[in-house]
Amino acid sequence: MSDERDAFEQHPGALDLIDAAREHLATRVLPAITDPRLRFETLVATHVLGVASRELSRGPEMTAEIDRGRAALPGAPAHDGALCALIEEGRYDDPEAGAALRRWLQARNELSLFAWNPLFLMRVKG
Amino acid sequence: MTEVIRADALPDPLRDELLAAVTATTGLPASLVAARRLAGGASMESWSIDLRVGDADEALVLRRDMGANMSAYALDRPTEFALLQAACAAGVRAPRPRYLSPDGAARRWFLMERLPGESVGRKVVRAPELAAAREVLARQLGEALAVIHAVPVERGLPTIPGPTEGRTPADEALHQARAVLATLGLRNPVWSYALRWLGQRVPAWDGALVLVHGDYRIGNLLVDRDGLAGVLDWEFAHLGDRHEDLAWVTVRDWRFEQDARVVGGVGSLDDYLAGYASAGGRPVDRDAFVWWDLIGNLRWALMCHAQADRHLRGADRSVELLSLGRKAAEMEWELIDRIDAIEKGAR
Repeated sequence: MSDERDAFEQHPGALDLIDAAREHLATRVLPAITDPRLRFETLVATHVLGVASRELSRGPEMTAEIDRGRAALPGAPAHDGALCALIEEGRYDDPEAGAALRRWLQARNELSLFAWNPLFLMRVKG
Repeated sequence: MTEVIRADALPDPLRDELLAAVTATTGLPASLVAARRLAGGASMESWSIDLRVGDADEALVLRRDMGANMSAYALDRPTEFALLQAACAAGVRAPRPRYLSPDGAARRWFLMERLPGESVGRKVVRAPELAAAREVLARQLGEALAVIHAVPVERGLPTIPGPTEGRTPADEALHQARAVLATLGLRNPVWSYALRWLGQRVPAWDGALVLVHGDYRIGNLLVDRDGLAGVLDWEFAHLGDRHEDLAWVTVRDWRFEQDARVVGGVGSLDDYLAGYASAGGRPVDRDAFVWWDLIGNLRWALMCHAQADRHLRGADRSVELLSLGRKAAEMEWELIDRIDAIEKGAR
């Protein structure tokens, strides 16, 4: 094993662990469950592991793009809390600022949906 | 710690409590014939229950509180029981309530008649055997909602929530959304923007205060081959604006991926509103309808986060509740997309 790796880099990685647990639930546990309630809950557990996997695999450049987009909005808010305050003060009431805000909000929503439900995104975007 | 209950075994103390309540109501001996836990329900435990009461068989459904309340605005079981009685008496198609838990019960419940039909949303919108039902369902949903909105609210109803004095139902809805937001303690620019946008466009209200079911959507409706068989889940009933109920079933999430069928994934808005009008429903204001549709998306997004919060705070540990916090992104996408279309004049 190379000694040049970061001391905190683990192998197998977090994504490997999550994907293995998800695969185990999907292929070994779910087929054996007969109780409908438990089956539904296990399906949800399997799904959330997929969400975590997609979120961890998307890379930091996507969230950095969202941060840059927020900073480019009128008022240059540095974080979501600052943006909320500007919205509540009426900074985006005029049509142009409102349109810019909505474009950014939808880009942000799309990033969330990429992890939560990529099929929803495909459906609603055609 | 979540209570683990076998699907086919009603816990003994609950069984004894049910049978004692039935006997106290009827004066007849009662025995349990069969019990089966039903799937679904993040706030309520449901069981299919078959009883022998005296010489008669009764097919029932048990609705029982789980742990923490789903919402501060939800009715308790005794009030829901009394409301169901009043609604059935006024001709609403709903399961007749039969037996109520005693006052001292730790978790309140009631038993209602078990009607035939399917309530699982994904099945209602897709099952081949319900294809003929879906052809007529949107119209029937409109008709049934008109009957609910015609239930007399001046007398015969238990005390249920309504708008605070001086507020319209729309003001009240905004107030409640802000209150939920404050409780959550989260900052989300989609919510801030939606609240500001909706707050600047509160629809005019004609003052008609009606019984609002509060969760009238596919998933809370029993459907059989002939269409609507019964309206379920009255825990969010209150007094309010008819447009709130009218719009809720059109919120995208209740279409169960059948997006083109705007009314609950089963039918058209024209059929639905025609049914409402034909059964005596008051005129529908399209601006108010759209407003309530949008705030419906916002409220459902906030409620999803409130459910995740139940898990995170340890009140009800559940991966299902936790996952709803992420599901809110779907409603948030819808909100911004719809507002954007309105702003561009392409409603």
